Amino acid sequence: MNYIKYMLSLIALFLSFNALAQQKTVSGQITDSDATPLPGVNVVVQGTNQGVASDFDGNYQIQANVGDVIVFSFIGFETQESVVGESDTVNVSLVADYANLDEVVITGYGTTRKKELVSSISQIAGDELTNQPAVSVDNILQGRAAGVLVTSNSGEPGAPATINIRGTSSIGGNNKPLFVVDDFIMGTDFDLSNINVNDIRSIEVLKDASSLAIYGTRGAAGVILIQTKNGLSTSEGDVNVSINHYTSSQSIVDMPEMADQALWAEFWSEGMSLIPGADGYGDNDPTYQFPYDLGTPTDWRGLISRDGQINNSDINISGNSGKTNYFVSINRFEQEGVIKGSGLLRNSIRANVDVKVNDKVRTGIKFNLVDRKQEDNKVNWTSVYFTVPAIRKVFEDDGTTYTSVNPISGSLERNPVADVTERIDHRFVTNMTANAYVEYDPIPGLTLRSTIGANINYIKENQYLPTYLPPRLQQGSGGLAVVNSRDARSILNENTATYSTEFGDHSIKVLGGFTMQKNTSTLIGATGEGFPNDVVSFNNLGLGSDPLKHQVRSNYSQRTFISLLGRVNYGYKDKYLLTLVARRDGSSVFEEGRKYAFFPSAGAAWRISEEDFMQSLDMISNLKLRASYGIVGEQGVNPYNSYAKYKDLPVFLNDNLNNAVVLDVLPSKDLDWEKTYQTDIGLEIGFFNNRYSLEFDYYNKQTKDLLLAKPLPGTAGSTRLENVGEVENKGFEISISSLNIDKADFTWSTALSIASNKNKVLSIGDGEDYISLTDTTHPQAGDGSIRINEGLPMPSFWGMNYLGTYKNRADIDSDGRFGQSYLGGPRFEDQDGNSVWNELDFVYLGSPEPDLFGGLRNTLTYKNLTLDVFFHGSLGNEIYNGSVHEHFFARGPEFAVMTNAGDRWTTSNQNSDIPRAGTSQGLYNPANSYMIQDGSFIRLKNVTLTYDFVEPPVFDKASIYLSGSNLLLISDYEWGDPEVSNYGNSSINQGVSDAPYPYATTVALGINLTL
Amino acid sequence: MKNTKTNLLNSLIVISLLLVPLACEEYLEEDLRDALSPATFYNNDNEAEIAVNGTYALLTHNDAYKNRGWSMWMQMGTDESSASRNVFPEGHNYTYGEGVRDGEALWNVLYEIIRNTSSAITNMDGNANLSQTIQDQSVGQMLMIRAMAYYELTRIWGDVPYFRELLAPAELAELTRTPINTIRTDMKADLERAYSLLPSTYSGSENQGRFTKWAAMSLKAKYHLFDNEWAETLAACLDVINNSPHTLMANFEDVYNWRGTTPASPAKAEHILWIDFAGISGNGVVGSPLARSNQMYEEFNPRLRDEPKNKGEKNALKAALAANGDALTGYGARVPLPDLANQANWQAGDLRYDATITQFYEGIELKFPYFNKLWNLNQSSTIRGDRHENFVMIRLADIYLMAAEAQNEISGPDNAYQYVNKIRERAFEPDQPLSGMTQESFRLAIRDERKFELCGENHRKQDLIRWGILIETVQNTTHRKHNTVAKTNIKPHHVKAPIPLAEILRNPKLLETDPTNNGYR
Repeated sequence: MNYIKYMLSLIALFLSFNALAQQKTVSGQITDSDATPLPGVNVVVQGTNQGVASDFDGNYQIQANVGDVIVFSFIGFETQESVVGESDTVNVSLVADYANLDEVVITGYGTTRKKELVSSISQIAGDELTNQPAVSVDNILQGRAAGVLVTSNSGEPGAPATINIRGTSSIGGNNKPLFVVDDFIMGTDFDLSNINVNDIRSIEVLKDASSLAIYGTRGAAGVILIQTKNGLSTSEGDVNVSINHYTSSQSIVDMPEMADQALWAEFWSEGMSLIPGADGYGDNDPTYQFPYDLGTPTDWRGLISRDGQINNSDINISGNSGKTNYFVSINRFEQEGVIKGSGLLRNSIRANVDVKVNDKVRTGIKFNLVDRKQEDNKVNWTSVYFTVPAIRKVFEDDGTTYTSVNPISGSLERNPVADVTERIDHRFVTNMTANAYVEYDPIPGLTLRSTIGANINYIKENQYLPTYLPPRLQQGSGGLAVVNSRDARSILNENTATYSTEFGDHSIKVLGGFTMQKNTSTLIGATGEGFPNDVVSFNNLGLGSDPLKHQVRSNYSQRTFISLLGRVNYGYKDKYLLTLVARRDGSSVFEEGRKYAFFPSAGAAWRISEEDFMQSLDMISNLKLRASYGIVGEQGVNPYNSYAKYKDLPVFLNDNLNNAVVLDVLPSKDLDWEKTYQTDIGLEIGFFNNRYSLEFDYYNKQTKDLLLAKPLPGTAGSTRLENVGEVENKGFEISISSLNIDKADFTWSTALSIASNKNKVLSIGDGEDYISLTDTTHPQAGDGSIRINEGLPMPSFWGMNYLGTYKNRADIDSDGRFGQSYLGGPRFEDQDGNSVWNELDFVYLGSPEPDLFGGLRNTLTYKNLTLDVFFHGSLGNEIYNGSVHEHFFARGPEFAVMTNAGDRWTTSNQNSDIPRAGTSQGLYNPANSYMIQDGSFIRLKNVTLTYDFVEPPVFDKASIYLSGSNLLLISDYEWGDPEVSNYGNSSINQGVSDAPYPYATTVALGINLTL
Repeated sequence: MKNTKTNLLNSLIVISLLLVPLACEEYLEEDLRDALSPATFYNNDNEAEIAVNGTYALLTHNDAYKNRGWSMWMQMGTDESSASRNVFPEGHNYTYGEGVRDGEALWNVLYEIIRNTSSAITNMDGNANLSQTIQDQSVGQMLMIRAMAYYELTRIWGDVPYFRELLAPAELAELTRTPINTIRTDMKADLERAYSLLPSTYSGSENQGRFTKWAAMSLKAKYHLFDNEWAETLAACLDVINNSPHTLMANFEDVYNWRGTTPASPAKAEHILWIDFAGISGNGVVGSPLARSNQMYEEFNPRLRDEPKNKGEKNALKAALAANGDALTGYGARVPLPDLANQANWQAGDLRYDATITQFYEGIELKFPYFNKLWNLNQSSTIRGDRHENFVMIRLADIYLMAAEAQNEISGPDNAYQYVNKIRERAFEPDQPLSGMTQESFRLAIRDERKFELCGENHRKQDLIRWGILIETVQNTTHRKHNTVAKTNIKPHHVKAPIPLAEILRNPKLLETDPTNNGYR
């Protein structure tokens, strides 16, 4: 391995230096511009590891040589340097910097100061997260980082949100960001609820090619770096104990109302009697008898929902002995979901320890253990909402047996009340991460670092359906138990060498590294059925006595990476900054000869405000122009995709279960990485010591060789993974922060972030005009309603134009729809005029991509009160409302109807554009313009009021807070919450709604104590 | 001392830093461990057997011989049956078209069967790793199952893409339509070969449900019948009649009578080509690979809320059902049309009427007539969502009627009476054999005989198409109120289905030989 030789020779070279000089003690006092002493200021002799902090009175003392540069840095102030001269006393006065330009930003395999940053990185500091009763990190990212679109998919406890950084750039690959927690690469599927929000010190979102290229093939969808706390924030020799507790209650909001039973019955007794009639234009059969008995309607929604509750407690201890610092925390989070029987219990422990072994060696470990018990949602909310009819009773006449038949469809169906009460469906998740490092500085400026870490995720799923659960009782199929055990492991070894030096006006920092990662996952599962009673349930599958229904299963998959990485940061006079990054990645999921890829990037910045000609402009305290260009990759496809495989498909022959296989999806061939070429231009301006600051970024991302599971003709198979086409994402991001009022008793600050992304499919390769993303919620609406279409955003919503209802016979005749459409029935625009309504008549109707999205945060403090108000919103995104298909166009009596059904077309109300009852029953009803609805919204996401006690007894600090989440929603969307994704966070079919788990308003009361 | 220790420590750390794991190419190699690959398969009899089994699983697939997606092309929109209400109007009212109930899912599963069988045939035929018996049986079954798939494809769509070996995906995705005669000629030869390879019966209960040589010969007879190859049709039918172990059941009502059958019940002597359903619903386990319920039989069972005719008798009906362990939990979606349900339209004394159609349950009058021949109301062994009634495609009575039809076309009725009268023997008591007819009147008599003997069994629509009388039949039928528009909607092109729109969009070459897509554009 050549690079090892290089490293050895480098080390040898550096070891030959040996500088010795005479030292003396330098001391002094550090104050702010008002001469108030500043405690805790970092004082470091440049180029060494020698450093101290100022004491309570701002005094410090340090060993230095004449000619050394002493660097004074403190958060919120500009860093200042002073050269040691003859005098033993160096007093300094630091200048306030509201933008914290000296703050350290994590860049991946290293850090830099904000002012030296060449890349586009959004930072969220841990203190922004204080007193936010958030379940997981995705909730708090919402609206806080420009260009990061976070969409909650459902209100279900533990449900992950969709995080989209600078647009959708992949089809069949991955659009989720890569998560890196304390330098450990967790992957894109990392469950953020494994991290206790109160443990977080900072979150960095890497967005441009210059910052992402260091993560090579895994960075195309952006990278989110999460750093957890350490003991360094505690003064040397101190121990801090902090306690945080909150309790919150949740209640369902924003669910649409449906028509009551009486209207439903009126609608369908008319609808089901609809016949072509004597003239063929539609009539109602007078002899028709409505077959359903109406009684007291059952309130299914009310019976399965409740007010939810959350209890969260954190205790953490942090300390700093100078040589060692540590942070230890425990957390218990308990949630009862708003649907009965759903919930989450989480216990976690974190221990972060750093040790200075000697002047040259440091070591440490980050350890996190999380144990979650998740009570899965046991009902299908969509069906409860829309299809379990109010005329169905919960119990049979005996009052104890659950009903099992849907009286409308006549089929055996689940009983939602029985489901939430009797079903067992939960999972235990144990997630452990341990990542240890050792750092060695053989010579000043050079640091060798090596880490080894592991993440182990173990999931045990238990499911049991008791014997008396409908429809098992009626089928006599006995109890059913399912047990699954999943084990995923990731082992990562990273080795880097960093050398930094300064000479004259030049500063240079060089990073080189080598990393290896191996991810494996296995599943073992079994199913037993035919349990005669419910005594043992899933604890003894052997008692499931029906051998025909026993199932066992297991699987194994593995994915490996090898990477070489390098970065050079160069600065001239602190004004001209250049960063070059490269990573060579090897990934197992590609075929021989295609396993390696190379990703370079370059970025430059010009700190205009440091130029002499700017010094007279006092108003402008910071002005920086930066630009970057580079290539990042994406390889988010399944392992073994190039293998031809069989899949199991057991078959019964005369009541005997036989092993069987059929050909699986087609293997890929000559597959390559997706490549994203990204340009970023950024401008940072600060006024009045950065009291007002603005950051603007424009980017242009061109992604080529898109990975797509391309649908094939049925003659060839279902889909095949291919590199197809190109997509473009262009957009801008603006962050503005200002300290509007800064008085002793009263401050008001505002932070605003706005972003816009324009996604466009440039090409989908040869052949078709578009690729249909099938498996839409309502297959009767036909293929082609959600597409990847050249020249449009991805995905795009398509359908026929809804023209209202047929109001006269002539229109039916002229449309050529006699025998198919009836008076009062829906009329659609037949693009090709052949009187056949199908996919070929679809027009583009919208996309889930917002024109603009962002967040606005206002923080006001008055004496000891702090009020934090946070809005976020989205403008111009469309929703594909799958529910309309069944409830507006009324597909059959099995479905509830909308409240406006009372205003439908009837023989006495012939001007209505709400279709006549029964005119869409059972028929093909195309996706159409009525289903595509504006999803713009503004949400009052969070309001938190905090009171800090003045000199509290016993504790150093004490505060209480009241926090409300999801308090107000302003939206034209009437079908529930506009933040929906029926297909979860990994699909590109975003913005499809079909009645997900309901959202809740949350009100929390909490207390925060520090000892 | 302290310094020595520090130096030692530092050296150790340097060394450990350099001990990075050596990266070898092997680290990135993929090793598929949890799936079988066709690349290393067909090495022994067991492997051949599980590949064969997989294609049987596909026959019971959701989109194959299981529900309306297939029966739409076999039964809907004729003079035989409809739904009790307005469901599946595309089929019953002839409003289907490109992109609208155009059979895409059925098309896809039929080609999945063809890919799997073709791949297996290539790999098993002449494979020295397999015993001769298993090789013969396996190749025979695969040829038979592939011929079934092309039988459906060519009946429904006519000219279709055709391949006999698993081609590369790119080639499969660009196939044009092959003339129907080419495909059918090959399939008849394949069935002849399957006939020579397959056993007459299988031993062992785990093998019941596999296709025998008689299933292959019966299917071959159907191929010839649909091509009007009368001599070949007759020869194939006679082989089955004379040489197979299949016999006609003594009583017509026993031909089905599903009541009380269990998944383990043996197949009936008259059933030749049938698909085994095990009645496992997979209820509660989403996507259970074991789900093998025969949904088609739900169609024949009534819906309780529709019945009885007189609402005042509802409780009496419920009590009667409960007493018999029965329930009305069906779809009521295949209800005989009024003319067929009217006994006056049947020949007087036809015993089959009462065994085929009823409008009563235990003396209580029902609102609709039902096919009691095919329904199964009993809840003890098979219930909604868990139906295990086997799906019967060809039974011996059908073979007799085919023989009669073929013989009549060859030489007139004289030699044909024997076959049709064999069927009429059990239909009438005393016997009412046919005799003294012209070729044409016999031809018409066979059409009626097939209707009364086989109604509800998915033969009618393709028979009407075969005889060239579908359109006039639909126009002259008394439809239910919600289907009256079928008369004006039906057009000459409805004798074939359109090539599915999704298929054309992905493979435009399918329009090369016929830009009108069977007359639909």
